[in-house]
Amino acid sequence: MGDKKTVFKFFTIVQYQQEEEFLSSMHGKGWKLARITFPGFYHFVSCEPQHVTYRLDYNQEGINHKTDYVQMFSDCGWDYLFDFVGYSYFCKENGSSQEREEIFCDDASRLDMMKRVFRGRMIPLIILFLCMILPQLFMNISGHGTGGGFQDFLSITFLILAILYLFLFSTMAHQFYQYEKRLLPENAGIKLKYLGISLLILLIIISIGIFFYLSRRSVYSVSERADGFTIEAEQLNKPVVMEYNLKKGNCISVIHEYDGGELSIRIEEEHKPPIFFGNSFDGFGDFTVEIQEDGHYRIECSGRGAKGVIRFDIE
Amino acid sequence: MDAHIKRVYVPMTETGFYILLCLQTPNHGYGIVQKVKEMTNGDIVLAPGTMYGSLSKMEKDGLIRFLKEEEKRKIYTITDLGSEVLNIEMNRIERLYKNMEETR
Repeated sequence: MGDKKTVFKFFTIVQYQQEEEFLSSMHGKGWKLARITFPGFYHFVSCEPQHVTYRLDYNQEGINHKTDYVQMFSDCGWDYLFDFVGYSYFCKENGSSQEREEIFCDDASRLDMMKRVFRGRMIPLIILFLCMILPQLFMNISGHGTGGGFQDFLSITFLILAILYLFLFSTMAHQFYQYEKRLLPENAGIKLKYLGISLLILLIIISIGIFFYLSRRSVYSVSERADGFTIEAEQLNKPVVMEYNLKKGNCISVIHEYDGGELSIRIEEEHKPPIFFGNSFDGFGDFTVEIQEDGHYRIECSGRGAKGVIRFDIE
Repeated sequence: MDAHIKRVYVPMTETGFYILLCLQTPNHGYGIVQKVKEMTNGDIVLAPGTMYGSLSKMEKDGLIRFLKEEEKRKIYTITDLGSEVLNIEMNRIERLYKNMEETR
């Protein structure tokens, strides 16, 4: 005996019932819950396999007045284990009866608990979602920031986060609906309420889509001259590629007539990457110059969110 | 009585009704659980999460008030507002009962 085991398992804040089932089944296999560490490491110690019911309560008031809260549960035969991120964990050995032990005896109080979870956990998450995740997502998609591969990575990360959040919100709304429907079947207005929430979520997704489309659309023109080319862009979101034969000593000066960025690209030695001088600012786009073959250079303006007139002169 | 109390407590849940009924004499949560079990021949066993939640909600809404703590258990008693709500519920249930008897 005295064996230990740690299992990593992630439950969202509304999946406390799944968590209860998981803990009971572990105890049934001879693993008793000892503690949980952030973000979801469940530490077990080995024990005799037993039928034990685990229940989670979410009650800030109870945590603040722990003595009488725990006393109430222990009077009713429940062992208090610990608190973890706002939830209090209780367990009780199943007697001879096969009836499931509950810490809530009516749907009204079950709904009250969900409302406490909602107020305590969901509202901060919604604020985080509206004030951080969504603005970050928009900013990264529309090309503010450093640009390049890192920005694509950020865009995708925030997109995944936003989808996860929306999934969590809709799961919560669905659970709420299930309880309220059982509690107040005559209350037809509730259906409308949840339809409204679902529509709102859908609207957010659609506006992200529209925003994405609009911000990726490119309006621009390229004019070529003997000694270079000019990009005039209202909004440029795709790469513009030009190819030139350049010799040692050639210099490409790039002037941006929108926010004043200036860049010069000098070929110090043929067959070698050129040297960049100067600054570029937001809305300038990124540049790369590659050697295709001897003396043949490929100039690419990645155009991520670029705006205004960008002039290339080859000297 | 304000609209919030009326909306939440009229009509009220069976748990809420038994809590107010029992707190006409001061008692703690587990005392109410035992008393209700006795009154209903063991049919209704109030659960601790429900009891704790209901008691703190009713205290916040002013239907009951905290008297003292005894052996880690909080003892509550009904307030005037609580008695008023209990009376409304008793009348409603009485009418329910009478109407049921008439059609029996």
